[in-house]
Amino acid sequence: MPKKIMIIDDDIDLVETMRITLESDGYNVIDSQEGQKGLKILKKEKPDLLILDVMMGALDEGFHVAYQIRNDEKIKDIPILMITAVGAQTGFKFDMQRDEDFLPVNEFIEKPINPQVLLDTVKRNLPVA
Amino acid sequence: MKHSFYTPNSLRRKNLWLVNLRWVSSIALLIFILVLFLFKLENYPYSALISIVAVLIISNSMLHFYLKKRKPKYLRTEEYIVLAQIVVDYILLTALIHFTGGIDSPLHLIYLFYIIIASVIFEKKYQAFIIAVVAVLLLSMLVLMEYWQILPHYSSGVKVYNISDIVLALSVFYVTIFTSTYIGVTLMMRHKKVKNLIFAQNEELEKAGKEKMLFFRFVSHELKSPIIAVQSSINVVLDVMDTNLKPKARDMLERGRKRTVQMIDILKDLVSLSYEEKEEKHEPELVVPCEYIPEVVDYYRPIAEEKNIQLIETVCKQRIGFQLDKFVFEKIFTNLISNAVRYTPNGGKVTIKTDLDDNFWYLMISDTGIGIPKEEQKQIFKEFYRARNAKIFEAVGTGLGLSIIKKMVKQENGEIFLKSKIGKGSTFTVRFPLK
Repeated sequence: MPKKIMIIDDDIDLVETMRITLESDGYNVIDSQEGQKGLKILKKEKPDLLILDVMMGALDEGFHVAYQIRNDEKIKDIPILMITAVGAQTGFKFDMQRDEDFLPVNEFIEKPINPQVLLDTVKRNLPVA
Repeated sequence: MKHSFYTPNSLRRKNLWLVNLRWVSSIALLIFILVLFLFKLENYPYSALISIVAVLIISNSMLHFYLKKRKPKYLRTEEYIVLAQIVVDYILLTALIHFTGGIDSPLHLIYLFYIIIASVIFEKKYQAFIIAVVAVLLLSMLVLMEYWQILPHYSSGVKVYNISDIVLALSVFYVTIFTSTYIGVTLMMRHKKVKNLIFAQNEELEKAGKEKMLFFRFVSHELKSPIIAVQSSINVVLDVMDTNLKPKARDMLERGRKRTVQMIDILKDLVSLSYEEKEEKHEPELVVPCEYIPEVVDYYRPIAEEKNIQLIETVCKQRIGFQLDKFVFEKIFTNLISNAVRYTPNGGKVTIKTDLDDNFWYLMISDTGIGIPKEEQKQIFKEFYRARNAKIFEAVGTGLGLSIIKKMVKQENGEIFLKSKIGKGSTFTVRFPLK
């Protein structure tokens, strides 16, 4: 059974590049371009891992979605990779890492994402089945 | 919006200034009395004069003590203290004038001094005029009471007043005092107006600056999304899809990718510049650069190897840590290395060294690059400035990197120095105080 990866990102082109990259490595990819809609699909599909963009419509919508996932018993164990473009410029990353308890996601990846880095990060964060 | 010109603190300083002036004038008065006495000038009532000075010294000591002891709290209180000082001084001054010859005493010029103080200190125009009226009333009463011989007239020459002399002297006094008040008040009003104007314009400038930064940030974020999508798409074609691209097609895509990398770097610089405002300042923490340097150097090694550049990191020995904003330090360091690699031709060398003396920790990054012309060495720290040879060597660049670095180094109380010889290379030295 190939692992199922879900991508929630409002940039359709980025979703597409990630999809091609992940599918080339044999993953099954589903996606959504919107936070709340994505959350519904996520609950139904229960993917093995979620790739989540930090900044959709609102500045912190990604975090919002991440919190909702972490507070839902049924889906709270799904690993989340958060894609960020903010970290690099604001040092935001540092702040997040300092407070371990606050961290609702497993790892941050900075845009632009190198395909190999994406594959490595996904592999590293997939639950060992 | 109407600003009060003074704060309780600034008015307190004025109050203390008056107290100090009074110390000086007490001494001057004592000398004045001594001179009168020594030269046996007139038969002045010395005991009365000395008593007045004594009252002056005692009341001033009390006020001084009070002002030093109590913190200023209300503007109104401070204003009353100024008023009280003026009124008490006026009464004592009038007494002094009485004992030194009434209208003949030169001391009545001192009234003017308080007019100046009142027009500088009081907010409302009429307040200075009230002080002027008080001065006029006090002197007129004194002179008339001496004229009517209710009070004795202590004078050298004429023992009896001539009414026309009195009228003339008092008229001159009135004109002088009211004119001075008018001039003082008018000048002060103008001064306050200008100061308020400057204040308002400063506020506006600050607001405009902030808006500019927000716009900057917005634009660079907006530009970044599409360029990142472009790069990601190229990446997928080049690195993931197993297409049999013709070498020429692959080469063109590689070129495209390289340009997107440059563009993203530029946008990152623009964003950094817009975050340079203090709002984004992080808490300083203990940074041990020697733990951190190898990590960054390793990150740049592959990039350097692509250009066949040797990255030499001399062993960092100083396990010393100091308080720095980690994010800022990272920015400074990575920017300098990246510049060095960028502006060094193939086969060159980039050396990273650290050093330590009693007061500073040093970071030195030297390259065997194109160098910076002497006449441009000062300019390159300015925003958007790029040296002429840098533009030829690397077409794309914002000229923002070094200006950002300089600001960041300064923000952390450090300094940056440059030594460069054209064609030979450059050395950037950053030093931070050990505190």
